[in-house]
Amino acid sequence: MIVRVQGLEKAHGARQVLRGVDAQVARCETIAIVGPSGAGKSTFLRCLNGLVSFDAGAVEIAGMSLTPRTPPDSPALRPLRARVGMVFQSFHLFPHLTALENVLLAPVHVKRETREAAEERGRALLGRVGLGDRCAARPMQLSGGQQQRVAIARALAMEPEVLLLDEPTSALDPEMRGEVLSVLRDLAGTTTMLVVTHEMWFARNAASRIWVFDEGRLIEDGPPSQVTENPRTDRARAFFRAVK
Amino acid sequence: MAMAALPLALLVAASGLARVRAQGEIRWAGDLQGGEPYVFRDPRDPSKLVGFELELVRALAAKLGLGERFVQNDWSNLVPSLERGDFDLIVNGLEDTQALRGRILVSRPYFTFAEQLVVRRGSTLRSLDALRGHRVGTLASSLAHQILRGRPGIEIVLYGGQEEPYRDLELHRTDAVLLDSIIATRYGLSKPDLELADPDVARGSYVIGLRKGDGDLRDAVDSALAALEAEGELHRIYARWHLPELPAPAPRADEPPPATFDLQQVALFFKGAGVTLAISLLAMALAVPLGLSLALGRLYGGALMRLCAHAYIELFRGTPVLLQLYILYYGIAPLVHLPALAAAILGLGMNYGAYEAEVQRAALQAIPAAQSEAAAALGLSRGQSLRLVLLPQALRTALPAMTNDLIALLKDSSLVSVITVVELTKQMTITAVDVRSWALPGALCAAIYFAMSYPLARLAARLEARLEAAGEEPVAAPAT
Repeated sequence: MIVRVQGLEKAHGARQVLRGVDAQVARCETIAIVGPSGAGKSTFLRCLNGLVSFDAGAVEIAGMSLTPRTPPDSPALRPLRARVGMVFQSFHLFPHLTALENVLLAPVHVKRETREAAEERGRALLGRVGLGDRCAARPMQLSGGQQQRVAIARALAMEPEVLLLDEPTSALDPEMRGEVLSVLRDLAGTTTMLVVTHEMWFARNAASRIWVFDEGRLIEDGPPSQVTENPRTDRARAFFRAVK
Repeated sequence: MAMAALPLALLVAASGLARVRAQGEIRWAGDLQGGEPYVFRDPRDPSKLVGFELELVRALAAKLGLGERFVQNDWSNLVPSLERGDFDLIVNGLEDTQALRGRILVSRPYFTFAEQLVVRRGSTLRSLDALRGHRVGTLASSLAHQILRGRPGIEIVLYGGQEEPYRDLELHRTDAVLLDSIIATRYGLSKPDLELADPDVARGSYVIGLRKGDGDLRDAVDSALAALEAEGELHRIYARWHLPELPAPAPRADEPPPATFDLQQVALFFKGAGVTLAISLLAMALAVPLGLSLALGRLYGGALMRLCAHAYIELFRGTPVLLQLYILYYGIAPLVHLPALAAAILGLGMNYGAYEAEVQRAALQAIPAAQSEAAAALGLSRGQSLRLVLLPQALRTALPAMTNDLIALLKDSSLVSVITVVELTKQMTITAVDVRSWALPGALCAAIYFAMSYPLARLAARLEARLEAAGEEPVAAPAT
């Protein structure tokens, strides 16, 4: 198991966001995390690489363990983050750098790769997400879909053992969602991915399992066909009826 | 109405004497700063004025059957203020020179003095000839200044007050001071480390200054002075103030003709502009990294560092830069000996550092928090995130505001003339006094400032346009 989560709890002030989540992910699985907004999906994902600290429980990910109340800027988290990639809803590319420089930054400064080697791999990665000809473009010159593909290449450049994606298509126009989702579909099966998403089509067709979150709990965990067509809980049934 | 207005207009146009008679008093001007023994506040009762010139004016006014009223005016601007009509007479150690006579009317001399060379005790440089290649201090636009300029090879250091030249001499910043005997006695030879090297370099005399067109008033003043001298009243006043009387100077044939505004003067202007530009750029080169350190200290430092950075910024923004320059050059001189140019750059740099700190703090805070989150998610350390992600963005955002500050600094740099640095504005005032005109030197000075700041203003505008095109908000400069 490359991800193992036990009894994860998190409160934002008085509001309990995660109420004891247990979950496991095997290598190269693709997990689609779905559920109504406010269910705790994004918070859960951010707990996995320490961007949000949790109050109780344990996380093991990519061979590293995380303990409760580790501050998000703790230097102890750096090796973990080098192995766990993250893609954000609003891309968060570095606007002063070109697409290629965005991709190079972490391999050169965190992994200490030579610039030449990193650049060669960076160009290949941008080619893989369909942007081989836009290496020198700045984020402002790219469309939303192109920016998100650069962000995926930036995360992949670290050769992460686990890739976390937080609603990667929610900030995009419908016509741009397809280009990002097809990149993710190509990655499925070769990379361990946890994707918080509202794209039911993607969850059904690309995920190995679907997790349904509701009010801070993981209420469904199973293969797409079983979870979407025959969920165990009424709440999950109501959710899938609503998004259909 | 008409009957009252008509005679008044005639008086103003025609006769100075009639004007002061109509006033019932003579308005006379001097500078109380460093005014001892001329005219100054009584140390025992600061509401009263004392001084030998006050006694002189009272005796003079009594002879003319008038009252007198003192008007405070900065010493270096006495002549322009007289021409503006702020008062009737200048009685404040005004030295008789050809340049002065070309501009205003002067009375007969009322006191004769010697220009005296003061040096540090035991110094071997005891004459103007020996001082070739050395630094000699004096007051700007004085007779001594004129004498020193006739001696090529001497580096002249100019001051605005009587006390500072001797203090700098004590501190080895200069090797001699040339000033008149009254100043030398009161402010120089009262210091135990200084002594007289040449008691009579040249002679000069003090005269009363009057506006052109006040010829009848001048004649009245002259005859009153002559009467006071004949009665021995002048002598009694000088004796009371222990002022040594010297025989009147022989008419000086070798006095250089008044300067004209020629190419040599223009060359001096460009030299002054070079000093202004160098001081501004070096001060900014100091202010930017200093400001950056302060901004980082305020945003990311521990409690103590945050407090120190905050205190520094508020202290340097909350006190006048003029005061900071004075303290840096004169105040801490017994501990740290800064050359004038270094003090100027350091003073302006430290002051502007406080403003740059706020500009850069604002620019750093304008970066969305998501940027540092994205950097952290990639495994970058806090230092790397700052250096590779946050600072490059902040500096680009802050660049227009920093360029604007450089323009402001270019103009603020004129303040360093108070610590003896001759930059563009100071050069302009020296030249203006020499050639007896402010119009042409002033226009040239303004044109040079404009030529230096306009390209910077264009640059700032272009940088702002580029930032806006990139969708980023430029950080507004805090009001200076």
